[in-house]
Amino acid sequence: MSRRWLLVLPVALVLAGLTSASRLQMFWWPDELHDRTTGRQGEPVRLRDQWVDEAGDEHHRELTVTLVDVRPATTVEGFSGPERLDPPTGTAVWEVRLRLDVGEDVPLGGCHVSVLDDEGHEADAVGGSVGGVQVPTTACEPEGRTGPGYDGSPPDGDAPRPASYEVSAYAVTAASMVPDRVRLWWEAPDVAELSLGSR
Amino acid sequence: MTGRGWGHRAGVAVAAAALLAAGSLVQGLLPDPEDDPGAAPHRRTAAVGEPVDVRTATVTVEGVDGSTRVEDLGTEKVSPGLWLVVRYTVVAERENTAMSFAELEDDEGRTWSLAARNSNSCTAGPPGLPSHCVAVFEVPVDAVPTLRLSLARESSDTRFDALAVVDLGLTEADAEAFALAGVLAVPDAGLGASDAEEES
Repeated sequence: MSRRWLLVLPVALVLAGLTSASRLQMFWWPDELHDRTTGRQGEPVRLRDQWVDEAGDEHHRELTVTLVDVRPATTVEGFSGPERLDPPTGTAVWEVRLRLDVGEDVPLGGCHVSVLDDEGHEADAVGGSVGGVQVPTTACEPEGRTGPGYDGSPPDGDAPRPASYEVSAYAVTAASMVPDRVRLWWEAPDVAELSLGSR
Repeated sequence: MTGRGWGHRAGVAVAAAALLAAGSLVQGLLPDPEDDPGAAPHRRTAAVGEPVDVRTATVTVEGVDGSTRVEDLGTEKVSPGLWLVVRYTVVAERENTAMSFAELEDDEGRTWSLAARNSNSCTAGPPGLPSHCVAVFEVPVDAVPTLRLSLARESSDTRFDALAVVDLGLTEADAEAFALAGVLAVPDAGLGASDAEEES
């Protein structure tokens, strides 16, 4: 009698696992960048991104992004003009150049850019102090020409955002890291993943 | 129907009281409904200078200095106890990572968290690049000889995650030396090779 119940045990464990799978989804799946729109360097990629506001209402934005280039950064824009970058030993700074084509009424604040190597190591383009130079934080809008905020109000005194423009984001990495692709996203799970060169 | 005597009733009352007492005792032994032992952080112990694998990064406490006075961002701060300045390095594994949780504990179970004048400066470094971090704590002199530093990724939630617990290896002699030391400059946190590594 007891042996028969042992035979049922694996089935029961599988059922228990399946019925609790929704818990996994609730915990981390929505926060992962799993809804990928892929493309290659130089190729315009259409991205549709959804987000939920504080009231729980769902919104979406559409834009076209093109990865123009990823190159070692030699200078960054400082308060009084370009400043030379001289990263410490073992450190590299990459300039990620992106072109965005987007309507001027689309809010773009709070974007994220990262650089990945072919093993999936990911370095966020978040700026910071490198070799005594302040590397800018990432913004996906031209300085002084931002679009509307998420509450619909444009910043005071700014000119309208152009329909097409380029921005740079700077990622600090270990010197040994070789960039393979770039990610651009606002809120998970939507992300644009753009490969470098002919990869 | 009237055959049950006082002895029987007393027996029922004693049995009921015993059951209530036993139930109360068992309830007291059960874990609190809000306790979740399975969610406790995974403690990984080490000494100063020993790398600790905390899953998302490798953490190494490089050294500890102390004084009654520290200079931080141009401001001198004086303690009636001691300031401890802990230098540690974080090397991220897969993505930008910092240690946002830092806490000191002594053998009496007293803890010093990142409250009041205590601070923790740690940049979330990219994979493979050392992030040099600095934690500053104000503690009483008698706590120094048994202090352990706990470090983890999330400042407000260490559940399920790895927790580096580093014995700072300090002694009463260290505490006395710290009490007599001059103003201690708090080093800057930052990414990449430290000055010493650059020179070598």
